[in-house]
Amino acid sequence: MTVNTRLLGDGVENPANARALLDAAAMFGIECHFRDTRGLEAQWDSRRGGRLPLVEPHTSIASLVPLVAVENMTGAVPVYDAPRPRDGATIVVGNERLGIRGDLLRLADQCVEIPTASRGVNTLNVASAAAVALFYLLAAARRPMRQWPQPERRRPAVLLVAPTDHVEAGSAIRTAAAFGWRSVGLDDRHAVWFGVSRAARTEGRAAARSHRNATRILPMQAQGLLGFKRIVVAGAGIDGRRISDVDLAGGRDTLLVVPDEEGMAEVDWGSLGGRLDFARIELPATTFPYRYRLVASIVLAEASRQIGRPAVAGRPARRRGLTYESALEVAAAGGGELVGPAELRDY
Amino acid sequence: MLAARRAGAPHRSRGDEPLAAHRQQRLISDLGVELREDDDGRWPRIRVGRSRPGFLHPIGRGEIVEVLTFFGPLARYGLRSIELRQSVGEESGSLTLSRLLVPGRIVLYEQTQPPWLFRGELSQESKARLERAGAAIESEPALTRVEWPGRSLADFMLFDGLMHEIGHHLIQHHKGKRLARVMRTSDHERRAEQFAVACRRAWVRRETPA
Repeated sequence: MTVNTRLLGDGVENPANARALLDAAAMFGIECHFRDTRGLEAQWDSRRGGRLPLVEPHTSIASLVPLVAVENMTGAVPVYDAPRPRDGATIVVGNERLGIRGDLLRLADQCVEIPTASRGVNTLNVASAAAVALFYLLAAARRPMRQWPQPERRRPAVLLVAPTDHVEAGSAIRTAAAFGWRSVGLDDRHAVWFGVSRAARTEGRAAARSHRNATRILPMQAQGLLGFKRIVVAGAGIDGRRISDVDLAGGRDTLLVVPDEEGMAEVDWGSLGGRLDFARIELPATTFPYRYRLVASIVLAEASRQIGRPAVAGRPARRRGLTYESALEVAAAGGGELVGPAELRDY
Repeated sequence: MLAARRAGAPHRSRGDEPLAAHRQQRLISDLGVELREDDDGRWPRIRVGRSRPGFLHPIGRGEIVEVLTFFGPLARYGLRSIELRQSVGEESGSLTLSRLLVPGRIVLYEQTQPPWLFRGELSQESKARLERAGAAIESEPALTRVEWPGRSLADFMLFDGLMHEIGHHLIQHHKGKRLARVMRTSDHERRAEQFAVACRRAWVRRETPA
């Protein structure tokens, strides 16, 4: 691992995201600093974790190089097989809405992107993006995202289990949506999603909801037979094989379970039926503040990498002509809850 | 007379012509009751692909020939092919039974071995279709199990798959505009469904004579 690497949040404006970025850096045993161009320090409360580590206002940008920018832009290489950063590199993530400022981007030695698969939500929460980028740049073996003729056939179902915080659950769902999952199962045993009063959010969502790209949240319980041939339980503290060695792209017969390891009581995984597999995210740090969205995002990113991308990118879909079909709707149309991209972008 | 009527209403859809409506009505009612003996019409090509491990084609060439023979040449008029195919690449959010590729090509997809397990609940419409076909449905909180006793799965594919698509095909074919959508999709689906139900009723009557 590159020990002198550090994380830099450039223009991050939400203090909760800043706290999550500090936790993401702690997961990888590196320091995190912020370049405050949007009033973050004024909103920062020391109860979130002491003084906000800022780069000095007069620090020359040149002292931050070599820079690795995490930004979806033309010419960026997929983070999955990006070269390891040089010793002393600064990995930069940008503002929640606007990304990294141009002065830093111009100086970047390398620009990496997290490939997404959704037209509705095409970005991750900034801390989730940082965790995914740090995982592939510092911890995981470099393995490219392969091309497959029909990658969607390889996509497993996802079940998020026992999140203890509404925002953490929302960010994990946003990550899933960005990586192309159109429905996500949620075991909401702590009543953080379906149980809370969300009248205000629903009101705001009514106008912004886009049914075309909405994500369906299906209430499920991680107990009893779920009807999958294979169950993969993945997390940071799970006792299992290294996540990149476990096949996460088993298609619709596979269920990828991402438990909140803080809020999870004993779960009898064997009762879910099917063949059981455990996958572990290998992290450099041994002790760190656990944050569900970061772990879930890394698991979902790895699953997305294994699912792959279409073999011929950019080719327009073949026009089929006039067709009629007879099909059974697998999930009830009214089941679960639809969440539009506009709302997910707030997480 | 026909030309005069067309000249009087040049923009009227051919599908609205009394003759077309009459033909369509006669088609459905005839197909519901008649067993055609004069079976020298042209047959569609029937292609049978191998199903993947864990899947099966609930019906084979024999059943297709049997049911098409029963309903006579009118039911297969204009059909080019019927193909039993693997379901690779189909949408994961739904279970595709069959598809009509206009004009005249019907694809029947392989299905998983029973019992069928669905995650979550089935829609009411899907449940009604399955129960009409004789399936036994058990709903648990996170899982729906569908059992297919006896020949019910084969019948389900014959009528909710094959005859449903033949219904679509006949609607298209008898309107004359064979490559254009001749009515709203919901109406198309409704009429194809009516047709499939009528066919199933006729088939059952044939199997259990009064």
